Amino acid sequence: MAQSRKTHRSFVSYIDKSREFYAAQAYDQPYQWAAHDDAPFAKLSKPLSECKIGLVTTSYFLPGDFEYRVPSDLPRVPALADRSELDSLDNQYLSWAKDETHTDDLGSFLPLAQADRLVTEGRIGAVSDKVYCLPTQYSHRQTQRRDTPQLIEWMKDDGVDVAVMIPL
Amino acid sequence: MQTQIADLAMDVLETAVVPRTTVQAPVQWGDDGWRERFMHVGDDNRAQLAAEGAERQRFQQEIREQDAKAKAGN
Repeated sequence: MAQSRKTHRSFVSYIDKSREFYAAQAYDQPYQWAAHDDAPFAKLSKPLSECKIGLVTTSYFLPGDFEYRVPSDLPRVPALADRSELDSLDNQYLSWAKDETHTDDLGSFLPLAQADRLVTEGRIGAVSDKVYCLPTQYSHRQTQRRDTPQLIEWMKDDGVDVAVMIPL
Repeated sequence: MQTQIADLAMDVLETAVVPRTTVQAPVQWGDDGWRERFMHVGDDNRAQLAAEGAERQRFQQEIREQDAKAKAGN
């Protein structure tokens, strides 16, 4: 830990940093961040030990013949994945702190092994065999009206009680 | 660390009673260098970022022209 004499820790403003970073790359319009006046809330309707958990990731699959050109080319569609298919999850074109970390450890961004442990310990009832991919979108509308309803439908079909999202 | 964070997430699920409940995990990076490096814009990379932006715009224009041509051909 670096020696410092601050009286408090300050947060890094992701919104300010990203606006300046993208402006420096000649993106004309600053991104409009979602801002909600209120948020829905639902308490668990049964004990966690009886709940089935579904894991949601912002990582996604790319077609085998995909050739990256520009960020807007990425096929950002929600996807339903079997646990056995996760080897082909692709993160390289997503924006994350590549100078500081890596995604070689699946458990660091998709805690399936932890979920299995929690099931074994009886802390949660079950974990879905499926993983739910929710790619980040420039368009709020696509996330709210297309992608999220699709994920909710899939999770209902799979009997999932609780969604746990781990953004990458 | 993953065990600690997963357990903490389950605690939040069980104990939260209001929307937007936020809990800070008691883990930190080893040093604070990432704060400066993350999405860094400075004299050392401003020209490179601008060049990448220009390249992206050139490429997008190319794609637009290809699409327009394909449309006209149909």
